Amino acid sequence: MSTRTYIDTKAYSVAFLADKLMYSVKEIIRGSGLDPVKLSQQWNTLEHGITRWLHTQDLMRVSVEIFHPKKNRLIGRWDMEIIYGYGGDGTMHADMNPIRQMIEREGQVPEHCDYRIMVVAKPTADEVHGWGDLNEYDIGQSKPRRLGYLLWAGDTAVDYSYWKKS
Amino acid sequence: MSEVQFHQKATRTDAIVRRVVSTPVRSASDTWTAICALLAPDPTSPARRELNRMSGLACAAISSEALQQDPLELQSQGLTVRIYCLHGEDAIMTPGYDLHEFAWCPTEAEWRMSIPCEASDLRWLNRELASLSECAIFRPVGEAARFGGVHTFEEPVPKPRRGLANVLKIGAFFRP
Repeated sequence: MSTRTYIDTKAYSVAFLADKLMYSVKEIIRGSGLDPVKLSQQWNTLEHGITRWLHTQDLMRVSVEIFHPKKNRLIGRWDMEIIYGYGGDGTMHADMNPIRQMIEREGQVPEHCDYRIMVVAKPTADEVHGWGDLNEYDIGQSKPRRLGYLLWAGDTAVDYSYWKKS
Repeated sequence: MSEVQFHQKATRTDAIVRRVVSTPVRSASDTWTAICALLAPDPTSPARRELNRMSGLACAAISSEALQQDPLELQSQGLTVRIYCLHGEDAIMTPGYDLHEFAWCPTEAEWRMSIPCEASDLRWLNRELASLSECAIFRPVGEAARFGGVHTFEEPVPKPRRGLANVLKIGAFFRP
C-alpha cells in the first residue's frame, strides 16, 4: 500500500502518522509469522498513546521487540524513529513495501518467539492511562539495517530500521 | 460534497449506503466508534457491546484501508447496509456529513455482518473474531460479502522459518 495526500494540517498529520505506524507494526508482526491478536487487543491504548505523544512531539520511537521468551533473548528489533522538523513538502506519504521486502529476505522468525511493542517518549511526556515503564532488551551484537524514511506527514518523518543479530 | 454520502452505486441499488470519514480525519478506533454508533445507537445494547469487543480487529481492517473500495455489509430484517470508509483527500474534503443516522436500528433484530480485510489478515482476524462474535465474519478484499456463523479459514502457505540455532549461535561464538 502506498498513500500520498496533498493537504496538511497538524491534526491530520498526527492522525495519519499514528494510523500508519499502527499499520506498519501490524504488518511487521504478521509478516514475521507472529500472532497479531495481542496487538489487536492493545490497539486502542497504543493508538491513543502514540497520537497523544505525536501531538506534543514527545514521541521518540516505536519499536517491535521480537524475543525468545524461554531463553529471554532478543531475536530482532524493528525501530521506527520519529524525526521532527523533517522539512517535508506538505504531503502525507506511506510506503510499507520495503518492510515486506525486508521480511521476505529475512524469513519468518523462529517458532515460539514472542513480541512486545515499545513506545519511547521523552521523560517529560504527559502520563497516558494504560501505560507503564518497561526495560528494553539488550541490543547486544545486533546491527541495524536501515530502511529509511518510509512514512512522513507535515514536518514529521519516521525512519525505519531493523536490528538483527549478525 | 454532502451528496456523495447518500449516493448509491448504480449496480448495487439494493442497499442503504453510508461513507464514513476515516484517516487522517479520524483515527481507526474513532472510525470504528462512529460505525458502531451508526449501527447500534444504544451504547448499552448487546449489539453495541459485541461491536465494541471487535474494536481492535476492526481497526486492523480499517487501518489497511480495506473498507475504501469494499464495504462492510450488514444484513438485518431483509435490508442490507453497506458502509465504506473515506481515506486521504476524500476524507479531508468531506467533513461532517457522514454520520446521518438510519431511520431504524440495524442491529435491533437478528443481524449478520461481513467485514472486508486484507487477504493476508483473514486467518488471524477470523480466528480471533470467532471468540468475540457469532454475527460477524471477515472476508478478503475483492470477494463478495458472505455471511454465516461458521468461521472457515483458508490454510496459509507456510513460509520457511529460520532455525533457532542459526539465530542464537552468535553468543556461543564470542564466548572466550
